[in-house]
Amino acid sequence: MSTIEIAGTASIARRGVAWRKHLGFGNVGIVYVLVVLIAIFSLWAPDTFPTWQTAKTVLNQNAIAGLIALSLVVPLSARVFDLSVGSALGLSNVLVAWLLVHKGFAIVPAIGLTVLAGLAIGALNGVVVVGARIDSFIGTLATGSLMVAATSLVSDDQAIIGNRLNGTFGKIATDSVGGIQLPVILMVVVAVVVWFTQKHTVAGRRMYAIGFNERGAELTGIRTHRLRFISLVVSGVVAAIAGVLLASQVSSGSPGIGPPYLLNAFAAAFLGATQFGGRFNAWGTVLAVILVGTGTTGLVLVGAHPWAQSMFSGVVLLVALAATNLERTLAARTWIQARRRR
Amino acid sequence: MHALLKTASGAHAAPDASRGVDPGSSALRLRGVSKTFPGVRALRAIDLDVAPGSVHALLGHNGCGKSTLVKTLAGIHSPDPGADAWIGGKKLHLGDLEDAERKGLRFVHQDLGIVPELGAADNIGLALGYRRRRIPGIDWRAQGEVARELLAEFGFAIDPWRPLAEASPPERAAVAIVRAVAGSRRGHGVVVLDEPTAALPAHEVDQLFSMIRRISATGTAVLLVSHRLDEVLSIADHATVMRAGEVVWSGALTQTTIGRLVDLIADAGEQAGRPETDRPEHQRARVSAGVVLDARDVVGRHLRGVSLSLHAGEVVGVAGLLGSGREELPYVLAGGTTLGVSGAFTIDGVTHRALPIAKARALGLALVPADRAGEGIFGDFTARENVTLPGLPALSRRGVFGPRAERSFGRRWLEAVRADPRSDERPITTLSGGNQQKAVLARWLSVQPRLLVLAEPTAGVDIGARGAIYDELRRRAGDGLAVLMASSDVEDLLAACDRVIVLRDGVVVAELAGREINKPAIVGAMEGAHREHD
Repeated sequence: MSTIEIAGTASIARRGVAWRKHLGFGNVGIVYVLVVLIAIFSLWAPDTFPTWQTAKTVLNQNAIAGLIALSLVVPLSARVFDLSVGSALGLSNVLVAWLLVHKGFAIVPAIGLTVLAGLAIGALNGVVVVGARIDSFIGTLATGSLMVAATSLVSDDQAIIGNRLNGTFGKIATDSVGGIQLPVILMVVVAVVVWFTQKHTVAGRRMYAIGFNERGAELTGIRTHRLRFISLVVSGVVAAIAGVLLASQVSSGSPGIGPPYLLNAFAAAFLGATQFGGRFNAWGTVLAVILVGTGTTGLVLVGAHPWAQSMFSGVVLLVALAATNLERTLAARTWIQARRRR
Repeated sequence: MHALLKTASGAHAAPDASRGVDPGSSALRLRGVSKTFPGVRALRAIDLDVAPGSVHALLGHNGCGKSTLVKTLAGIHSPDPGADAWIGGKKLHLGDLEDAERKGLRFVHQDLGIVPELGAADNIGLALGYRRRRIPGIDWRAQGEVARELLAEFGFAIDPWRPLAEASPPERAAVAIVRAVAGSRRGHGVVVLDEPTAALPAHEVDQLFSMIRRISATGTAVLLVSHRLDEVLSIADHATVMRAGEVVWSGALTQTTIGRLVDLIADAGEQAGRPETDRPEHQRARVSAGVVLDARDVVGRHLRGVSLSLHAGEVVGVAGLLGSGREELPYVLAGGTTLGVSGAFTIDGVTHRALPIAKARALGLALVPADRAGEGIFGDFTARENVTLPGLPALSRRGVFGPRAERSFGRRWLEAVRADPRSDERPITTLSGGNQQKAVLARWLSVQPRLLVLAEPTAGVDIGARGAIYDELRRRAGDGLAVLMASSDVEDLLAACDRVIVLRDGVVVAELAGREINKPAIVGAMEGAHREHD
């Protein structure tokens, strides 16, 4: 708790204590929690947990979840909720398998078509949310259920399996460089692109502006409609790429595999938004995914019950959000007191 | 009734009556109400008497203290110790809203406080309680009848179930007023109406007035806060004029004229005595530069055919009461609103039928909006990000900008408007209102516009920052920028403008330049006294 208090007073306005600002709980709190977590599990399961193998497992098994979470960060920065990413993930997963197994497409065109489908999904969301001005929370819930329908239609509610999903295609998501698989590398690449866009490009700054004050952004001359549309296309495409990787990883196109990703992705994006300055951002999101992944992997290694994993995600999210709120409250209180003294 | 009114107005003629007077003859009586805010004495020993059944106007300009007085009556502020108040002869505990309600003091605030999604029946039911059936539940039919009858009593025929969002503005106001007065006993109580006509176009005011007359005919007193003098004269019988937190005049309206009231409100005596050197020097300078924007026959929600030309190097002020089109004009001219707007806007010899925001920006028009929190600033951005947002493309190559270039750009422009450049990394919401406004001003100066349009440039801005903003506008105008500022604060216009356009009911009623720019002239034109003076 004392960490929080120190960070709280520091982040107010006292200049010159930059390290506190950068390393304070409100900025990189996830890292501290992660360190504590690793220490606990290392003591608990000293033989199995503190190994490279665990680290690789955490990364490889959570890369797709990370990609989905990153796909949300872009629309969320413009305060657009894309609740259809889980369904888009599921649809593209089934679609790529169907194209390969039942339609005999070669790998590259099948992947290309699936990514195009992701683009179309994003455009559909854009038409609904931006064109028809339906609230994104409701609109993407509706399009998501259309995608679930399309998934059933394509797959006949059966898992699509076949040899073509195992060979070269199966290697895409499982071949590794030094134990790190392609999805992890892609996650890092996407994170870098999102980070750079949000931090250093006009478009990224404008998206934040829309998220913070849409009317203000409009009055600044920002084409809010176009940017919100684009943000939904981005999440659709990233979700489709994640769907292809998922099909390769599990060697099948499974209806119902996608939607469960949604909640965890939102949790990661919101948890990540408490880091690095309180906006939806790439690295905070990646850290959040790794934190939750470490916890669940650790629980498996110490032989905890399955319910403990779900509970862990929930508790981590609540604690992190509460800690950030507490920090802000403390910061605000100190700020007010400082003003009163003046 | 008449006799009662006479004795009451007799008491009125002597507002300085000693404290020992029997308070029973007034519907509302205040003695020695003061209110001090940190650094400001908003009210100084206010005495007020409102006779039963009278319509008593509370007049005064922005910042004169009448809102503070109303808020003190409503229990939002508690007065300084030593204040006394009575309602119908009963001692009132000021600062206690429940006590005020019980004794019969009712309020209709400017925003009406209605739920627009619901109909009159629900809005009345929510305030006064619903009609219930014996079996638990609401008797909806009876509730509808109650609402219908109450409204009919005051001359309004409104479907009680139609959402008020679909009703006309006077109908909405009527519902709010009806539910405020419905509980009071005949001949008792006071209703405070805070600018009930402010948002109404002039032709819709009559309906409301006949309603106010009916209320006062029942013996309930009406305390009417208003800006529109001609309206006040047509409905009120008594008035109290406030200035700088004090009552400067109180009495029956038959004993005065509109011209005298304008002088009282605008403090003409002081203005006339002001030495000529007090006028800023720039206002003697003549403008000879070219026309930047020429607007003809602009029609909008409130505007009903406004034409004006704006020249490079000139600061033009827009004055007008709420609903006069003063709030609308800057948005129309700078692309902030296009819905229902028509007119011809000529820039560089090209005439545009409409100015959507993208076009306005491309043509070099910039807008500093009125609602700083809602439209001006981005609360989660730092001051730097707030400043640089529209200027970023100029700092970028293919949409990518360098952090250093952005930082120095932000600091440069914060410095340019005399804001502390070291505050650039602080969240904008932690800055004072004045510094926030400076950041918004810096934002729009940084794109080097040809015409800068400002709405309420000094709302919530402290006096020091105001001066800095005026100076900055003058300096930029000196460099050839055209500036249009619409403000509800006449001081803004006096301090910074070469020319002032006064709007009233959507048309230009006066255009003042140079020495003609003084408070009595502006206020007189705004409030409609010009007709009598002409």
